[in-house]
Amino acid sequence: MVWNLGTKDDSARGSEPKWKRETSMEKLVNIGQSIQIKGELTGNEDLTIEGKVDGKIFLKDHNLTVGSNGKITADVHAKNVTVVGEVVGNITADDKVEVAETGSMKGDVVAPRVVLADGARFKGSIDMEAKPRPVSSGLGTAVGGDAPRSVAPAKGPGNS
Amino acid sequence: MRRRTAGEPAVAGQPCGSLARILARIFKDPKPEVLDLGPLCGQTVTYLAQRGAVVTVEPFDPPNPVPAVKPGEPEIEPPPIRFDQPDSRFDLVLAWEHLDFMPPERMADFADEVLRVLREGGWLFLFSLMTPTSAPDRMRRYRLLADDMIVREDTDLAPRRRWASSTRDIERALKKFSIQGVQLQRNQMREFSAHKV
Repeated sequence: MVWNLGTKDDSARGSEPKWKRETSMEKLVNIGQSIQIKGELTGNEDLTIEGKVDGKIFLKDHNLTVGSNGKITADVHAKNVTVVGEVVGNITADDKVEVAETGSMKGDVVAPRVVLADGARFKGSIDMEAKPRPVSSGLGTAVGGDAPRSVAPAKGPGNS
Repeated sequence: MRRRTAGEPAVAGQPCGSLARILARIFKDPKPEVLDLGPLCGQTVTYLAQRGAVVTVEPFDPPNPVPAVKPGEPEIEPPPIRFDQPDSRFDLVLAWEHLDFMPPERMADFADEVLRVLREGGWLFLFSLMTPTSAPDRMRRYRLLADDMIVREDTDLAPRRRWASSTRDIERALKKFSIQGVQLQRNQMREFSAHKV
């Protein structure tokens, strides 16, 4: 297995002191486009996957980003999971799961906060831990989480 | 049931009383199961999930019409309408505008499949356009702002034929349900709420 420890913007960091670069690199690990991993992935760092991973991913207290070229077929457990690429498998997050507009996800999600962009492709179920709802009225507080607080008027012809 | 209050900022949307009544009923169960047939609106899914529901999203593509059979030719068996879901699982199926895009001869099959995945006492909620259109139309996305307030939004889905059947034909297709309400909205959409008994 080959790990690409370089960050996305290595070239921009050329002028930074060496110690600072090393510290940054420790915190962000990339699995590049040409990398394929089969098996179990565990770690104590944030991880960005642009390649292919089949198996299981466990990043306790850390963030996983499935990049636009990333394709994973795996059950995932992490603190935050952002899906910009493709995921087939179940995701459990301690904090938040976000499926971006370009993201595709097939599987079940369990997380206290979930954001699904409207253009995203999603098939599966969503189970969010129910939080106590505030007594005060108001759409924003009642909806909570990351849901937009207000929405622009729809311009569809049928919406008078 | 959560309703907008007098001091709450105005939002663009349609009142949606039937859905509000259904939500009030299903949320008596602390963790009801909801099936959303799409098109996906992330805010609607998270709204219901934050209320405590387990929301399953299965984007459903309405089938094509069954081709007419020429005399002497064998009848063509249409492909079954099947959701990838177990029997009797859901308390609510949100079919949005799917029935409008369903060929009339397949509406009853669709209703049967919804009936299969609903629990006894479960609900079907859908919209249907009052006036049929001749031009192909896009299926819309529904953004739930509150239990009783919804926004109908355009999508970039491919245009398809919208049959927009009469209320009587829809009631016939849903004959195995107990239809609890048909309400006409200001935007000429009909709200149908039906109950599995």
